[in-house]
Amino acid sequence: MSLRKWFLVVALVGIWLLGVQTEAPAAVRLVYMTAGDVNMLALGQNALGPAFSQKYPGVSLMTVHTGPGDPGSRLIFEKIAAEADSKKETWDVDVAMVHQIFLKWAEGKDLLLPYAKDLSTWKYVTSPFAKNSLGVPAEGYVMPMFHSQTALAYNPDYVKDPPKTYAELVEWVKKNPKKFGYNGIKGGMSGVAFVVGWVYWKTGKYNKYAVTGPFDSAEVASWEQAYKDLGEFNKLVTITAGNVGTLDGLNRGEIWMGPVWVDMFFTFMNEGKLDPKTRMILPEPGMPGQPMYFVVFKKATHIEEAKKFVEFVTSPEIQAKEIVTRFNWYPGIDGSHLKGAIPPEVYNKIYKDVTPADLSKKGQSLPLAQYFDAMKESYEKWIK
Amino acid sequence: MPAKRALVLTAEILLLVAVFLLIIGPMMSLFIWSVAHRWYWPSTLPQEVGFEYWKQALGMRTSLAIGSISIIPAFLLSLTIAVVVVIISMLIAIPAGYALAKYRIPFGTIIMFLFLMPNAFPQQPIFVNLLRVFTRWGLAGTVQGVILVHILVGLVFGVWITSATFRSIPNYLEEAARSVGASRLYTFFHITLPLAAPGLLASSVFVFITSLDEFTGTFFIGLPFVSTLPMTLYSSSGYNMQFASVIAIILLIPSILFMTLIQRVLRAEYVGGMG
Amino acid sequence: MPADSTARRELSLPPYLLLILPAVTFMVLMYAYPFVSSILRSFINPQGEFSFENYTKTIDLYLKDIGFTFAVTIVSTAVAAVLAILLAVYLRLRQNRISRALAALYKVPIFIPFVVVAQMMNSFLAPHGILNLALAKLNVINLENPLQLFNFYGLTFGFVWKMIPFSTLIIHGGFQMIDNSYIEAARSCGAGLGRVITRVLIPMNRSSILVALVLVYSQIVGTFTLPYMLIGGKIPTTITVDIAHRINYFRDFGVANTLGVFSYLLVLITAIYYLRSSVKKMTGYQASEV
Repeated sequence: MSLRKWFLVVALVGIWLLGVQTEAPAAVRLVYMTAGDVNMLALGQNALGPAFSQKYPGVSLMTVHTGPGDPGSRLIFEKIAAEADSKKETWDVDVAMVHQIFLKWAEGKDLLLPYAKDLSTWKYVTSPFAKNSLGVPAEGYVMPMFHSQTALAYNPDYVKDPPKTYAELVEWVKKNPKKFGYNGIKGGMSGVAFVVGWVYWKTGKYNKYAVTGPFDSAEVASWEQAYKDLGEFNKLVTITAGNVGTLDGLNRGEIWMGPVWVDMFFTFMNEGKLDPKTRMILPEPGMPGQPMYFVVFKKATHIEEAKKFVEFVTSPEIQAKEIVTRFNWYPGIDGSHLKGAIPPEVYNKIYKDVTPADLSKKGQSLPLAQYFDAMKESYEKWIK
Repeated sequence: MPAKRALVLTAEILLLVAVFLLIIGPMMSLFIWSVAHRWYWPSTLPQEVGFEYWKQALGMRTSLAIGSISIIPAFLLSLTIAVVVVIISMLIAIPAGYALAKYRIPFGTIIMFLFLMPNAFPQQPIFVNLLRVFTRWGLAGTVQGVILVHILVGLVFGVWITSATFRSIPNYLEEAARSVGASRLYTFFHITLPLAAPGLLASSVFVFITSLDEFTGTFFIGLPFVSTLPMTLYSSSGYNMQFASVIAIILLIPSILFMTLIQRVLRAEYVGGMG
Repeated sequence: MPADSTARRELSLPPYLLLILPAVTFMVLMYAYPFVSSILRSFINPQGEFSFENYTKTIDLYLKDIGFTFAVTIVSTAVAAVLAILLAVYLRLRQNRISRALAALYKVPIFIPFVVVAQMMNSFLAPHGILNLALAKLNVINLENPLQLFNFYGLTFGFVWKMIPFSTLIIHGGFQMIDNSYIEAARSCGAGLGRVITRVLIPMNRSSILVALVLVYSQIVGTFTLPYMLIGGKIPTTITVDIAHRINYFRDFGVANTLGVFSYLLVLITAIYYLRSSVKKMTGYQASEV
């Protein structure tokens, strides 16, 4: 009967294509899992992959995208932990791009290869982020692929004189209720970053929480007033669903200001989802940013190729061409090595509102892992 | 009389219009976003439209916003998996549904609820554990593993709906056939099954759709080697509304096709069985 | 096949065993270990010892969310059930061009995965989304004060939108098996439409209605994408969003699994209800009381 025939045809075609799909055209297939935005997938498949294969024929790159934000990194972690747990000889995943929190989860579990110092591009990496990830020592285990920063995006038609400090923001919100939006601490890192910046501001103890430590639970107890103030602040703002919720809200004119990730800001704008006249400002004393790291796994199937891949992406040419010029992200290696490789329009575009001086003065790190957890939990505890 | 009929007819038409608006309304955003190039406030409609994202999604043009190569193979993979899942699930579910409907099985209700559990207990914590198990069994990252997961979440529809279907077939019909000498098997295939056909087919439609749309489990178990269409959708969902909308529309097609196919067969069988 | 051989055999092997064995074995093999493991994990605190710490923490932080989830699920299920029954009745009793158009139309949301529904509702229900823009054009509302739907109401609308077609399909399927003669018999006894519905159609279709109810209920409880997109970080939110939050940001499986247990308890309530209803056979119409 026609139904059966139809099924048969579909099944056959599907199986054929399945065969086609799993056939590796090159000798080595490097498995690269990336968290982060969806354009990570495109970057891997359409830009990095072909370029890498051109340089190293016989190696093809298979890019797998696990999702945005910490959840994406967590999936990679679960996958690797399961592989380690099963005591396989070699693991399916070779190299991954993850958020900082991954290092905390991987601490002490012997999952990562200390590969970074073997690379020729190690000398270009100067930022402290390469050595320390939320307080977890990471030197040698990571190479920053790019750096991202949060800032406040605002609609200049309605916000004529944007607040330059957190204190001014509080005043602004009182005069413009519900026109500021962020996502609290659930659903997106932009909201989390905002809250972290708030705590840094109210306590003034950025250095202790993010750089030196040590973790002291008495500090956590001292945050009560800061969070109570934030609770009052929340009454005058719109709570959005996440990073995208905030950007969508800005796009639809529902809110006039909100914290955003600079790279998402530019991506949305390039894709026609954000009015080109939207601006950004980095308020004092600062807001957090974070890098995304390359990690290579200890029992990866193709270790040498993985290292070559990371070296390739962190080379000044690729950093300038793909990371900065194409995607308008901040480079993972020191920017001074890219001078001259970036066209001036691009330079002006990405550094227009948030200048390199701003970044070095007001770009903060996220706090040490234990303080980070405590800040997130305190929000849930004090703000009902 | 005529006035009453006119009133009823008007009410019916209003109902149709209301339902149309309610269903099509939210879907409008899907269609509009799939062709929107630029759309930001304050305009009600996109400032710029075109089929650029469709071309990128279908691989006709390489894209820097999405890995476009993966959509057609992912689509066919999803489809193949769904078909296999339906076949296996229904093979297991129909006997089970029949047994649960016709016999007094000890702990019958508990068994029914066993199938409900993958839906009732939130999936994420479970699938993390399942990943460990599957990795040890060498099923992680394989199509077979994904098929097993789909059966796991789809079986509830198979068992519950077939069970309800069989339950509503009056026993006397089967007993009548048995009493004139028909064997159990014959009765089942020539009396019970045709009568149950609508319910069974509805059940398989749901299993199909569940498999096609399944995301969380597939995500956990399938990575890195298995890539189904919902995973591509997730990759772009929220971030790139245009792609998400295009992929969503693409996802609609096999489900609707399957349904119309089933309906056509159903109409024939229904008429045949009841005749 | 059990068939006739059972009559000949002396061993009293129940005939249904073979029928039900594959399905049950499959579930036990695939699901038992992860499920039990999850429940056990909810009793293990971050230090690795057995304790109720996760439960106290969950109640301390998430009680409101648990209540919210329960409320949304019950209300959405009830609304979907009532509307689905009414729609199914209409489709059963009327056979004209309009009803056929309606029959094709209502099925559409079934084919749209929750992930997509989440996005659609996000765009449709937003303060400056399509619904509000349309209402503003019709001068029903003012855009400065739009309908705020990223909350309980919008979430319920989303769930109901997705679940009515599903329920209607199942319930209508059940109605179709009720022979016309029953309806005509009732009518000829003088029963009006209401009586026909409540005394003939619904009671004869109880199994389908109950199935629809339970399946809808458990699907809503377990949904993540829709509440995540509509409500996300707001308070209160659903259990599924909280679970994702605990796992993704803290890798706290203790509390995540505890929340899962609460979610499972919510579904267990319907189990008890279903058990009681399926035991009572001929007495009235429990289903429509929901």
